[in-house]
Amino acid sequence: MLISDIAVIMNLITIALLGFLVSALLLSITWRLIDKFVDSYSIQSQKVLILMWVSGPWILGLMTMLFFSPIFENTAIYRWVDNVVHWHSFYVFQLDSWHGVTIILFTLFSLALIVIRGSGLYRQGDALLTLSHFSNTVRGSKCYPGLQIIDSNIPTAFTSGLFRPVCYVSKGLIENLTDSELNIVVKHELAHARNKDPLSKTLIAFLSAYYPRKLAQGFNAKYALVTEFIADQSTATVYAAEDVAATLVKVARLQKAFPQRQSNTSQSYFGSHDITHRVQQLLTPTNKPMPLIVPIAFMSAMLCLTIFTVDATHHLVESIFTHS
Amino acid sequence: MFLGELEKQVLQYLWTSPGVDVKRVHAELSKQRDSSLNTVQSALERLFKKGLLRREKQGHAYLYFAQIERGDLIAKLIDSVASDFVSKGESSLVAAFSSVSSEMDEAQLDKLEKLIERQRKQLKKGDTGADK
Repeated sequence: MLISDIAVIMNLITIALLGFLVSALLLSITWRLIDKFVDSYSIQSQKVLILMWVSGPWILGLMTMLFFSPIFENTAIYRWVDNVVHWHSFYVFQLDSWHGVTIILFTLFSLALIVIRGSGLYRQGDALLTLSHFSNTVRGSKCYPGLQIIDSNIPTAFTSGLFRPVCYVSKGLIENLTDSELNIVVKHELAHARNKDPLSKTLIAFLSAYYPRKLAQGFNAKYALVTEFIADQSTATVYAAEDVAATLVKVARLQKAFPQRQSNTSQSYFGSHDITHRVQQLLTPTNKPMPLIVPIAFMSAMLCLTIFTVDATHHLVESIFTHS
Repeated sequence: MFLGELEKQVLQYLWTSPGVDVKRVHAELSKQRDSSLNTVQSALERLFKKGLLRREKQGHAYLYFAQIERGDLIAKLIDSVASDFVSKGESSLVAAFSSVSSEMDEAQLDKLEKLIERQRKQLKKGDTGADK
């Protein structure tokens, strides 16, 4: 049994975790309700919503912990909150209680996640190095410094690298595109590199892994699409949106025509509707912004609900299990 | 697919010189790096076990051949770069310009092209109207 400041810290971590789990549940339910309406808002609004939802459990968990924290026990707000919600036995903590089990399970899950994601990233990094070795990758060119050209007839272009993203375009794509089309592809990839999209996608993938699998896949797919929209829009500030859309369709056709025996690269990257979505977004962009106050007000409501649910859950579970 | 530096060099050599034994591979690679015959033999063994090489016995020695073409390996590697999260809808390390699902058929692409063309015409019409 831990008594003293360490017990306080462990209890605060338990509160944060309960807040995390409760808010993840609440946010999962609400996302299912709003998911179909999200697409009607502007790209930036969609991005903000996804970021808020995947980081929501962490932020709400931490804020719930702060509300319960005795650090602020001399403040008026703490006294007010304490009248409504409170945590018993702050200075006592037992590792073999349900509090301890919650912390241990969450830590194990997080460690497993880090190992799995980390090894996945390592495998990808290694494959990229091997690719550069075998494909006689040419670093940069007169027209496109920073671009790497892969000596392969597969029509592909992608940006990879977490902290120093690098754009790759294959010879198979270069040879089949006009100069203007190639510029569009390169500008699009450079936009990904500028926005550090591989890194942000990795973070989203990590954060969303705490949600149910299907929902996590939905977040990742939607966020990936949003990054494509943003890179497309960035390219469409220099080239006509119709030209960007036409290039997108042409590249899709080239990939489609490429014998699948040799590669199914990127074939499963997006669903069939994503190119359709991107073309539609280029031709008729959705500009309806969501006022920032809406998600902020929603998250505030979620915070109140989380705090009350944590308190209720704690009391309910305590009536079944005890700390000892 | 993890490939060590020596394995990469062995594979690279076998693409240009198929059907050689370990001594020949060692002789060639020792121009580039200091590796013992045993080390080269181990690298060949590993590549064989990974299914990247095949071998034929000739006398007491094995002759090695690349089992996979350079282009096919590059295709596999591009797949690996994009695949880990991709197949689960969780692409992270890669941001590709265009990726087309196998479900996306020519008709859908034709439809998109027509949509783009229609928009171009409408814009042209609008510009002409504005000029008048």
